[in-house]
Amino acid sequence: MKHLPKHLRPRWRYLAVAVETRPGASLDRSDFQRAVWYAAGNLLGDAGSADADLRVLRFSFDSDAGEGTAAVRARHGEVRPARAALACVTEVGGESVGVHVRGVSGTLRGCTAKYR
Amino acid sequence: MYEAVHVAPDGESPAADVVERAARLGFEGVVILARDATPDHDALGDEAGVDVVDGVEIVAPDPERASGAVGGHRPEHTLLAVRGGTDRLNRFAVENERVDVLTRPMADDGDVNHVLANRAAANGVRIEFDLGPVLRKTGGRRVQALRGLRKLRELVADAGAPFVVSASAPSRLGLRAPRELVAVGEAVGFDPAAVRVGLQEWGELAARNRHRRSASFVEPGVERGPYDDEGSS
Repeated sequence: MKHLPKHLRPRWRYLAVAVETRPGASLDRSDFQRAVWYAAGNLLGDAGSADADLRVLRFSFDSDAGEGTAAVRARHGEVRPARAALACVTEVGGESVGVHVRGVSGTLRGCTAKYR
Repeated sequence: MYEAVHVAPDGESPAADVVERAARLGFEGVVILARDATPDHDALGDEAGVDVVDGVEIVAPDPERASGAVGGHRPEHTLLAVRGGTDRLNRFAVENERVDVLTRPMADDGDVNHVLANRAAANGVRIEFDLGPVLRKTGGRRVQALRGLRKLRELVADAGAPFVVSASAPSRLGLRAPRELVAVGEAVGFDPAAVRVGLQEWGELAARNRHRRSASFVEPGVERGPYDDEGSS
């Protein structure tokens, strides 16, 4: 499909998220994405979840340290509900996790460069 | 902003881990609500660079036993909380001026009404809004917790009762940053400013009680002044 003119394209915010769990656990992007969708669906409902449109774009995880970072995309103006939904992510792939939004950027590059 | 935490053996994580993570999340201080734990507050605070408050949480099956524990623990700790969860315990806590905080009033079979909220306001007993079930439960359990929070919110606002907010984290991973708690509060109907006030209230309580326990304090409004030789006549 032909791409949208610039003023009609959705505007995004990118949340730099720190994920912490027990050392030795292994998490991957799809587990985290599923957990984020469930958390958003349960807290914000279908309508709110669709508005926030959370997507995990980058995910890196160091299994030895049990720490990882992710870049989560949310619709511009929906950062607060997105933050709330991310705070409700307590388990990913059966491991209990601590999630913390380290910052918010207007571009993915800004998000990954500043909060690596 | 401050947060109240449980540490091993009451919680799942060692005190040092909990305090370190709380500092990293941006809290200015933590109140360790101890039952059996005996952490070294000053050493923990120096290590992590945050204020660590010596608190105790009394978990008793009935007011008779809670009353004894309040008398025993009050002189030893900066901050004293009583865990609610039954109507009788909630009533006991809000009637007792020596209690700083009533925690988890709506958990289990507990309930609060306008009479209790007014007593809490009169006695200065802080009522805790426990966001833990909102963060960690789903489905019916969460709906119940939200219903309780909403009722509590309306009663507390009407009575003008003081309150605190906490995530009641069972382990270090259960901690959430202040901004996250504000966002969650807003998502479930709280005024964001009220959540911030509730998080700051722990710190203000600790400061007030430390002042009261200091040597110069006699009673509210009466203190030993700095003029002992020339000023007195």
